Amino acid sequence: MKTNGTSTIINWALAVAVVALAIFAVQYFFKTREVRNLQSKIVEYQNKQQFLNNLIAECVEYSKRNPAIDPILEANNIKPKAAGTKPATK
Amino acid sequence: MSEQNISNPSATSGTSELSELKAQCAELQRQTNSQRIALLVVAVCLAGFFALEGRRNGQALQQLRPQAAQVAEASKAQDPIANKFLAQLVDYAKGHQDFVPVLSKYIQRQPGAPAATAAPATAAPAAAKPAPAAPAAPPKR
Repeated sequence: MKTNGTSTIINWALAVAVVALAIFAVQYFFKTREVRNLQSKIVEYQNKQQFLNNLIAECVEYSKRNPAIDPILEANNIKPKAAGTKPATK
Repeated sequence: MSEQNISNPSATSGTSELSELKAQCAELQRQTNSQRIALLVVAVCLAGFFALEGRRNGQALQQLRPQAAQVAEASKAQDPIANKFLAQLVDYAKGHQDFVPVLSKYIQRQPGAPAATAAPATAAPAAAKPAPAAPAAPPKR
């Protein structure tokens, strides 16, 4: 069968489009995967921060009832050292 | 297309048969070209979609990479301190039973309960594991 010019052009255009499609699809896949990985790391860190903040808040609340926990909080710079107390020596 | 004519070309020596075959061939070629064009359009649309989404993801990555680097750095610096703090709280809870309910709200959430009594060095996963229990929701893209 004789191939005319139109067929040739369409064939080439189709080949180029398919190759471009493959390249863009691969790029999309890898970029999407990296975005999800980074987002999950950030969210994990935020969750960890939230956990620690909640725990610290509870500890500070508890320290109002029982100041025996104060040295721990003061050692971790969660609660300012009391003015009258001797600075902790470690 | 008449199959009889194709299977037996010697019987179609007339010019009318030949012209009919040519017309059918031309029609087939036209249909094939139409289908190729349709395929081309679909491929171009899909390629455009992937290119656009890839570009958007690239822009998102440019914002996320420094953020993630900061997070990794902060996490690296913070984790030992947090683990040490948790270990101190666990030690404190051993001597103060009234603190146990407070601490157990956080420590018992994790499936690996032994981390509560673990040394700071081994408590590293302890600070990370309760994370999913926190209410922060992942950002939706």
